[in-house]
Amino acid sequence: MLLYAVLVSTFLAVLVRHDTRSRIRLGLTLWFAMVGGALALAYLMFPFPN
Amino acid sequence: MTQEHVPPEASDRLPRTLLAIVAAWVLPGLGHVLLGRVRRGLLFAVILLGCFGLGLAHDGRLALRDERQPFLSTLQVIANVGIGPADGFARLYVYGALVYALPKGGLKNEHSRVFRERTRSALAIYGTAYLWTAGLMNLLLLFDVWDIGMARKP
Repeated sequence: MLLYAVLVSTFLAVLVRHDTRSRIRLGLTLWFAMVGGALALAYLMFPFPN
Repeated sequence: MTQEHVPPEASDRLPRTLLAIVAAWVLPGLGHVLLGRVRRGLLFAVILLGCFGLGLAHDGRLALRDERQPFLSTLQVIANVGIGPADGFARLYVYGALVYALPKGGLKNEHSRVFRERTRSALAIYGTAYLWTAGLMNLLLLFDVWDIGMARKP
């Protein structure tokens, strides 16, 4: 999941931003959104294992 | 006498852009390289081919069109094919032939058996996500190549 988030966030950041600073900012935002979102969803689903 | 740089007209850009789009589909990143965005193209190539390789290494499912779910399974095949000829080579390696659909008569042939076995792998869902993502990212890149080639993007 971490590696997947790295690949996707890097790809999208390079695709839609044109300067290094905003690429890094967008990439980190996307990475934390993907990883944090997945962990939050997993936490919410914990009471429903099946 | 200084020569003034005149930007090419849209009609002049079109053939070069179309060639770059085809190249971008054949090898991810090559379209950007042809349009002079070498570093960007190489980075995209590393990301997309890495993603595709991880998908294959994780027993990702190379989708086959299924008559029982024609719409969804066709979208899956499109996502796979987005990565270009690499998908065809992967199918040759995995299935032993260039197959894109399950047989109409049933699921008893060799391709179906291989397809089912890969689906049963515990890693298959991760691999499939990598494969689909690689293909979809490459389809996005085709639009990016179009925008760059037609001077709609800096």
